[in-house]
Amino acid sequence: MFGLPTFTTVVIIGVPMLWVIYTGAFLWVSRGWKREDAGAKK
Amino acid sequence: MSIELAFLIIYFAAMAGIGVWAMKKGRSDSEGFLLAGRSLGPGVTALRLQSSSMSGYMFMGAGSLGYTQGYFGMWYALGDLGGGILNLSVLGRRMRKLSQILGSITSIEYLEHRYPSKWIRLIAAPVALFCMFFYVLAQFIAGGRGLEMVTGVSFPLALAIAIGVIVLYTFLGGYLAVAYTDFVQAIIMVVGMVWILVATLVEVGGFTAGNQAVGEINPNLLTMWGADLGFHGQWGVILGALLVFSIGYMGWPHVVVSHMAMKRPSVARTAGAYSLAFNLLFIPGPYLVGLFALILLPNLANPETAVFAVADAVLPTFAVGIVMAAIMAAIMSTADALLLQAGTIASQDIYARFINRKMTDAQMVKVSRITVLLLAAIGYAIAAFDPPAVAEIVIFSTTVLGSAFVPSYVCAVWWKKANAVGAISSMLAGTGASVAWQLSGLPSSTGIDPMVVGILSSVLGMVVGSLLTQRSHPVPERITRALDETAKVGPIPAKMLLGQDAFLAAQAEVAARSEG
Repeated sequence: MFGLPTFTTVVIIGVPMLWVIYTGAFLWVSRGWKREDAGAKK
Repeated sequence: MSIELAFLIIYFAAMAGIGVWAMKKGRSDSEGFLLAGRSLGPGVTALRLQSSSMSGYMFMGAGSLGYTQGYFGMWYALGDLGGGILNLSVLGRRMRKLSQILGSITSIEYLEHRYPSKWIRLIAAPVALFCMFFYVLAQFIAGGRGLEMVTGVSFPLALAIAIGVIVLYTFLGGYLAVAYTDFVQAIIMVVGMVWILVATLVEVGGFTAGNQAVGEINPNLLTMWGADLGFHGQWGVILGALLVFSIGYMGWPHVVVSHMAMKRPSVARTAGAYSLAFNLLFIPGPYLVGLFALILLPNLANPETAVFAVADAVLPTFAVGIVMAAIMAAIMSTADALLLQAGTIASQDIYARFINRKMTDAQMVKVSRITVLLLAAIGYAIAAFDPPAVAEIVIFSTTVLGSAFVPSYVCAVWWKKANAVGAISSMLAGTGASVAWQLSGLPSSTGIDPMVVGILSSVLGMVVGSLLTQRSHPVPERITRALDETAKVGPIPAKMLLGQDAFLAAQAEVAARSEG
């Protein structure tokens, strides 16, 4: 695909996908953080 | 006057204007000057963190890696993509909260507050200053090369102008000025990079056609193993490339200070998502432009100028000016953050801590500015007469920074048993191992990157040092209570803030007296 060897294609698409999944998981896990803002002075 | 130069002058003036505006808007006390009064929202936090991490390396070193090693360079980009979200998700919320509870206003002071020992600052400050000097030296060289190409003046003169502008600009104000200008510069960087990438892809006939043309020059460049397949199976080198710009960021004092300046701990959440979006748009660009420069400009004398030369070749004149401004934005947003942090370390963490404990704000600014001028003068002397390669200096200095500080910053908020002995062992082991590994030439003979050795050594130093000295050097109770509070999701109780809890204040006072 894209004129690239298969391994290169898998790596350059796969690793960014992992970061996107990590970010999604982080947003899910941290969905309760807004609680912290209630009553915060800053 | 060329149109490129006109754009650069407008850009410099606009940044100076934003700097002056932010300086007037900001508070003048120490927290206001050094942390923007902990007032920054997710957009400014994310883009400031990213633009100060993405330096002149992205336009010179990354382009050069693409030009000389093809897709192997993408290992660095692939780690870099997650650097911001990793930093914000692991450290962001907790570091913001703990630094406020402990009353820390610099990232080195924070380490001493968390690991109470004067040796923490005595070791951390010089190591950070040393690495930051080399890192900022790379920015000076990149700025000089950029101006040399745009103006046609000799490199020593272009270098002097670039350093002069960077230093003047750093003098404008404190963290708020740096944060707002970095925010605007991040936007300029993305626009410039996307523009040059799209123009390059159009010029080579698209992504697939470009890859096929590169494959005709040397098919090895399309693999992940380098131009001569020299990195095939070299997983130690590849792991180092992935780590240096991903977890490595968590050890950069001029970057992690962003967490301490957030308006609220929860800002880290949205900022993390923004930083990933910025990285996906920006980071692959320079590596790919460097790669496709092989088709457009096959006989470049200096591969580090690949991105500049491609911009000059494929863009209309006015667009070259904007791209040049983007390149200068990458350089200046890192250089100003580094110089501000270096000045802060010299004035707050060394002079005020060990020489003059009653230093006034005016003296602090004076010491900070003298430090900046000194770094600039030494930097000019080295860069003008024998400029080293930008990529090599950036990778070396950031490797040492990451190796020295990642475990100390991470364990500060995640491991209650991490104590001062562990942190000191970790910083010494990480710095010593990464520098020795690099200087001994072992990376090429063993195939293991100094970052891998440095991080393993500093983690080992932290774990062994802390566990062996739990009885002789226990973590003070005021710190463990602060860590318990940091782990909770909720507003900081007023009594936890330093000086408001009699127990905490008494313990802090005793600790300060015993440290002298």
